[in-house]
Amino acid sequence: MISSAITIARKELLSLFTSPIAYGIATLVLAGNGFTFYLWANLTDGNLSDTTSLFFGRGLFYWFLAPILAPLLTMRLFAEEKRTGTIEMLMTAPVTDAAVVLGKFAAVWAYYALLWVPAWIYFLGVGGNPDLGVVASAFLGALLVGALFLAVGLFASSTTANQVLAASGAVVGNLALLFLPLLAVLVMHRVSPAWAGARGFLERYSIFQVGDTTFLNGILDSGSIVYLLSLTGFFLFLTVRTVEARKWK
Amino acid sequence: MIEVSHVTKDFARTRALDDVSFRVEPGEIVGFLGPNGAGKTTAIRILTGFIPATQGAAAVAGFDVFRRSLEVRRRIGYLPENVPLYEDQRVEEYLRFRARLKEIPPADRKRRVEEAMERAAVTDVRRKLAGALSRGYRQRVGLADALLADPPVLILDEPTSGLDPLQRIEVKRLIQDLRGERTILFSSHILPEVESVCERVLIIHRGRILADGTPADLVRKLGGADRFRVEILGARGKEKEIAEALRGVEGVDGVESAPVAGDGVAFVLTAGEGADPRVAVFRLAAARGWALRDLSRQTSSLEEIFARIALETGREASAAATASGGDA
Repeated sequence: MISSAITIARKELLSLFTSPIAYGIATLVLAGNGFTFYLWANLTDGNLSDTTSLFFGRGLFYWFLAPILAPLLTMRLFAEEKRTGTIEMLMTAPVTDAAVVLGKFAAVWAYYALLWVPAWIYFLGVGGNPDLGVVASAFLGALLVGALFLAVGLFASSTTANQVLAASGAVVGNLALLFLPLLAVLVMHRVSPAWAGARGFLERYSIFQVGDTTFLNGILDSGSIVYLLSLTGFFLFLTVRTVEARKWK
Repeated sequence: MIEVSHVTKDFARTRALDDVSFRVEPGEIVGFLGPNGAGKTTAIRILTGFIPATQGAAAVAGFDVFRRSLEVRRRIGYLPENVPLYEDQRVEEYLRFRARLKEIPPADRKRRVEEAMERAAVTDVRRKLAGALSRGYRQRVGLADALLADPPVLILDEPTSGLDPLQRIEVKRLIQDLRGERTILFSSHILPEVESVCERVLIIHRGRILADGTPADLVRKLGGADRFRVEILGARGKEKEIAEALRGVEGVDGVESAPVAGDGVAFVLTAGEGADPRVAVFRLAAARGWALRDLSRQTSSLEEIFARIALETGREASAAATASGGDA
């Protein structure tokens, strides 16, 4: 199971690097990060000591980009296999459905992690005196949130043979995950104080909040980590089920 | 080696397989024959574990295809109908990926990939992208993949479709080379192919197995009425009169005529069960002074049998009782 997942992850990573989309996305991220840094440097008159987690969640750029980037990486994964029929070759080889899903997920997650590595240059190379612990924690937060977005994307891809549909479905899903709790909080705020309990819960567990109160402050809160991981696991589980569903038609 | 018992498969609106049962013994080469849409691919996909049966059970090498799917997949080399390949992978790269997936030990991988490429004759395109391959090469890359793990069972879905005649011969030769070593089930809608390679033929139509036997058996059992060809020179213009005379010969049930080159006419006589009117026809021709150029028995080819069976089951819906008895 593990070895076939690794085989599949390897293959997916290789094919990512032979497709133009990976380079397009990398360019976008690098340019975006550079621009964010430039703006920040201007805004703070060059006082960069508080740059810490600018790139991993404190900057708007991350929240704008991540929910859209992830689906671009995942849209192909199952949709393309279904469209071209290669899924038949894959699923008649001695590999489990779970290994296929895990392998594909591991490949895009690794690539996603790689995308944010160059941002470390800003902390390590540009001087200032950033708290590297906080940066690392923010980086971890960004990866965990990214994993969730990727899992949603993978799930969307497993439901269709159309890449465009897979990508747009995943973008909608990711944005819903991000904004529906916030929207609910806003609405509840207006409706009645009686809903304060529910509101507190939503505030605590909206993905923005999870990032803001813990990872970005350098706190590795096991609750937040487990929360993000289990949401990710849930979507991966749904993906495995969808892939399996061919067996029940 | 392959055992299918009472398998039924329903898709949303249609019944693709209807109570299908058959066996393939170890080392046998069995042709799976049927028109497009007969249920060949569905049956094959159930055997390879890609989709499950609605009812019934199937086993390969003693393992249930649904419950022990991974064990079954380890023992099958499968060539799907349209040979889906990852377009962005090179042939060799693809085969190495497949070798890893198929759990070939790292030490053997390189050798196995080389051997499979050699056997399927794709060594010369090893550096080509799969997306740039011609139909024939794709097919052969698929074959190389099926042979990769040296599986005891090969299941090939239309291995020769889309190939030119030369490539077809190559593929047939390859299958014949594997004779004895492996159990092979391959589907086709082209009869001569199946006839020349297979020891046994399964005819499937509308989701049901209609016949199961050696090609010769099937011809004998299902050949139906014998037919004889009588060619007479100088008969142009006198067809009616000659046909009338031929119809009078004992044992002849029907006569059809068609002009042939020159001024000849070919008459095809249908004879009743076991009847051989050739001698009587010769005497008649001698008595009337006809220039007899050909007088021969025509054996039905598998193709005709196939067409007949297919047509008959078409009518079966309205007359179920008569179709199953009689000459079918």
